[in-house]
Amino acid sequence: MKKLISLALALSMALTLAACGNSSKPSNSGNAAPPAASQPAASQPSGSQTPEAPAFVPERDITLVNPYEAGGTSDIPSRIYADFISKNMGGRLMNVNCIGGAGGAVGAQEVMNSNPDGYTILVAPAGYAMNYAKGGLDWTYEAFEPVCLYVTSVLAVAVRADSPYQTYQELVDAVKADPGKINMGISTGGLPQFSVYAMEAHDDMKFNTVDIGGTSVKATELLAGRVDVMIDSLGGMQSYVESGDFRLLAVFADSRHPAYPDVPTMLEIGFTEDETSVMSQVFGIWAPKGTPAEAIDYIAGQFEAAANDAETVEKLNAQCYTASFMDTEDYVGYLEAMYASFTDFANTYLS
Amino acid sequence: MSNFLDAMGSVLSVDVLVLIFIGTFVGIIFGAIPGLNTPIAVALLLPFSYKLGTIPAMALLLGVYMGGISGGLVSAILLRIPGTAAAIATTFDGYPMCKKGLGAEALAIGTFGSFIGGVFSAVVLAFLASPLTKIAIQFGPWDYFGLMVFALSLVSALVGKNVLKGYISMFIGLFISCIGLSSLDGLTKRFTLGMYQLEGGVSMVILIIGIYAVPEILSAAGKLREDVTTAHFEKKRFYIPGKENRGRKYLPLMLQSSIIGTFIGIMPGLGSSTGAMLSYTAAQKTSKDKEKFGTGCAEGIYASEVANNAVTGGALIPMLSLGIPGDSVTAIIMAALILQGISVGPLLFTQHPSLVYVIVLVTFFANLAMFIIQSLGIPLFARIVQVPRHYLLPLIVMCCAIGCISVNNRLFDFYVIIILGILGYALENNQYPLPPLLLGYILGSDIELYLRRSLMYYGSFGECMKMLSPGTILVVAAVVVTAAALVLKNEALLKQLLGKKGRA
Repeated sequence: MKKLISLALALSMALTLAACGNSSKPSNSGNAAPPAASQPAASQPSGSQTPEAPAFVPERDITLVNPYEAGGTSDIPSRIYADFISKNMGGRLMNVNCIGGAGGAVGAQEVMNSNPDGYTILVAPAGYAMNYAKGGLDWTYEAFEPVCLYVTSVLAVAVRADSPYQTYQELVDAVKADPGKINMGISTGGLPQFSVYAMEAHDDMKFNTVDIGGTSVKATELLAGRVDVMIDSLGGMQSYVESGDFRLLAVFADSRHPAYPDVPTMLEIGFTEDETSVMSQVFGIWAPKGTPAEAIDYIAGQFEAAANDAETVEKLNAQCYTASFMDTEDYVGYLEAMYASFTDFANTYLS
Repeated sequence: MSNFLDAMGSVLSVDVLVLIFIGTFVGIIFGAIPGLNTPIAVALLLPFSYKLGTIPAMALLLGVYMGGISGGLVSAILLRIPGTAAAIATTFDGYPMCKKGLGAEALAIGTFGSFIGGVFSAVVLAFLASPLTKIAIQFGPWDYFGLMVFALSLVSALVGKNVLKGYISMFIGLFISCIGLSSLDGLTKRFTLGMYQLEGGVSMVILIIGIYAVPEILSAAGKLREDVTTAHFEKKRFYIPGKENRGRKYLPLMLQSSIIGTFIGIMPGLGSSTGAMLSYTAAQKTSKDKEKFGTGCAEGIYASEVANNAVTGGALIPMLSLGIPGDSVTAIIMAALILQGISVGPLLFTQHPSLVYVIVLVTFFANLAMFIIQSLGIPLFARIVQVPRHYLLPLIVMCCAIGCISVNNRLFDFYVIIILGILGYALENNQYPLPPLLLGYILGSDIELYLRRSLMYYGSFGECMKMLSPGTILVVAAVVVTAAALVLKNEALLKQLLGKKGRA
C-alpha cells in the first residue's frame, strides 16, 4: 500500500512538472527552450496548409494571453477558439493564459516583452485604443504585430426590470432632470467608458459614473440596485434578461440583435455613425513586435479556420458573440481607422 | 426530489467517482507544494474538462478545488511554509504541534477539520443558496471596504504580542500590494523603479515563498548541527485525531468556524485566506484558554482548517444562484460550465435543477475523498520531517523554484524572492508577526479598489461615514479593536490608567 502511494505520488509529481512545462511561456532569458519537446515535433508530418513559403510549424504549445480575469468577456470566446485551434496544430495546443490587471495593461506588457517567436500572442480588445486616446497607455498597436480580428461582441444598456425607465429616451429625460445623480455602472478602462461620454455629449447630460469591476461580478451592482443603469456586453447580461431581472434599453450594433428584436440600436435612437464608432467591442490578436511573418500567417490561418467552423460559430452565438474574421492586412487598416476615431473623439469631447 | 435522485444517480457512477478522486489527489499535491496553488491547478485542467461531459468536468474541477484548499495544510504544519495562502493560519498552531513531535496528529486534526468545514458548506449550499445570495448582494463596496479594514485591524492587533509591530508588518504588506500599476484604472505606475517586471505587482506565490520559505530555510540552515526534533509517530494505517482532540467540546468552535468560512466564501472576492485568519482570531477571542493559541493546540488548527474549506462551498453559492463567482477558482469553474454550453446565471436553478444537486453532491464526495486520501497519506507526509534536514532543505528550495518559475517563467522573480526572504528573516528575528503582512498584501489592492468605488458612489469619505451601514460600523469597530488592543496588551499603560482611575 505504502509503495503504491509513493508511486502514485511520484507519478503525480512528474505530471505536475510536465504540466508546468506546458503552461510556461517562452522565457525571456532564452535558456528554457525545451529541447526534449522540440525533437518529436521535427519528426511529425507537418499539417500545414501553405505549401509555398517555409511554413511555420509549431514546435511547442502556443500561449494566448487574455489580459483579463478568467471567465470574463474576453476569456470565453478566446477559449472557444483555442479549443478548436488546438485540434489542428499537429499535436500542439493553444493554451489560454489569463494575466489580468490594470484594465488589460499588465497582460499586454507581458506579451510585449516576450520572445517574438509566434508562441506568445495577445487578445487585444478595442479598450486599448480607448485607453490610448485618453492618455492611459503610451503604446498603440504599432508596438505589436497585429495578426487578425477574430470576434466581436455587442454592448448594451440595461436597467433593472422594475426600473421606471422603459425606453432610452425616458432614461435621458431622467438624467437631464437630475444631473449627476443617476448612477451609471461601467468597468473603468473598458470600452463602455467612451460610450458613456458619447451618450453624455449627444444629449448634453451628466451621469454619476461609477466603477463596477471587470469580471462577471459586476451584475451584482445592478441586481442590488446600487447603480441605476449599466453598460456591459450582451453576453454577460443575457441570463439576467431572460430571468426577468434586467431590461435592455438599447444595443450598440449596426442592426438589431436577432435574440432581442424589440431592442433598438443606438443608430435608430439618433446617434451618428461617428458617435457609435467608439462603441463596438472587437477583439483581435496581436503578436510581439518582430514576430516572423510566417508565424503570423499561420496563426491568422488558424483563427480563420475556426471562424468558419460551424460548431465554433454556434458556441459563440450562444454566448452572444459573433465570429467575425478579418485578415492581417484588413485588420491593420481597421486598427488605423479605429485609433484615429478614438483619438478624434477624445480631442472633441474630453478637454 | 426526483432531481436529487437523478443527480445522485449520475454522481454515483464509476467514472465520476474516479474523476473526483483524481481531481482531489491532484488538488492536494498542488496545494501541498509551496508555489503551486489551486487556481494554477484548475486553470491547467480546464482544457481537459472540455472533452469530458458536464458532470465529469465538475467532478474533476471541484475535486481539485476541495483538495487544493486542504492540501496546503501539509507543508504549513510540517515545514511552517503554507502550501497555499489558505493555510497561513494553519501554521500558527500546526507547526508548534509538529515541533512537539505530534506532526501526524496535527495533520489528522487539520484533515478532519477540513472535512467538517467542507461538508458544512456543502449542506448550506444545498439548502440556503438562494436566500443567502440575496443577502450577500446587498453588501456594497463601502461594506467590503469596512469588512477588509476590520479584518486587517483584527489580525494586526491580535496575532502578535505587540500591536505596533503587528501594524508595522501590516503596512509593509499594504505597501507591497501597491507595487505595480494602480488597481482601479491602471493609469499610474507605482514603485516599479523603472522595471517592467514589477508592473504586474509582486505575485502571491512569490511573496509566500519569499516571506515564509526563505527565512525558514535560512534559520534551519543555521541550526543544521543542532539535533532537530524528529517526529516519532504511532504506526497506524488510517489517522484520525486522538480522543482528546475530537469530540463534543470542539463542536461550538467548528460551528463558529464553519459559519465564518461559509460567510466569507459567499462574499465575492474575499477568499479562503481571509476566512481562515478571521476564524482563527475569532476562535482565539472566544476560547476559554487564550494562552494556548500559538503553542500548538487543536483549536487553532481546527479554526483555520474548518474555515478555509467552508469557504469553498460558500464561494459556490453566488456562482450557482446568480452567476457571480465567489473567488478566482470558482470563476474558472464557471467558465468551464459556460464552455460546456450551460448559461450560468439566475436561471440555473430552474433550467438545470439536477446540475445544482450534482455540484452539491460532488462537493460532498470531494471532501470525503480529500479526507480519505489525506488520512491515508499522513504516514507518508509525516515522514518528511524525518528526512535529515540537509537533504530536505535543498528539496524545498527546488520546489519553491519550480513554483516561482510556474508563475511567470523568468529569473527576475528569483531576485524578488531573495529580497523578500531577507526582509522576512529580518522581521521574523525581530518578533514582527508575518500574517498581518500577508493579509495586508492580499487585501491591499482590493481595499483601494473598494474605497475608490465608494468615493465614486457616495462622493466623499465623510458621506460614506455618515451612512448607517455595516461598512461604517466595521470601520469604527476596526479603530475600537486597535485602541482596545493597544491598551490591553500594554501592561504598563494599563496599570497607569487603572492607577489614575483609582486616584481619581
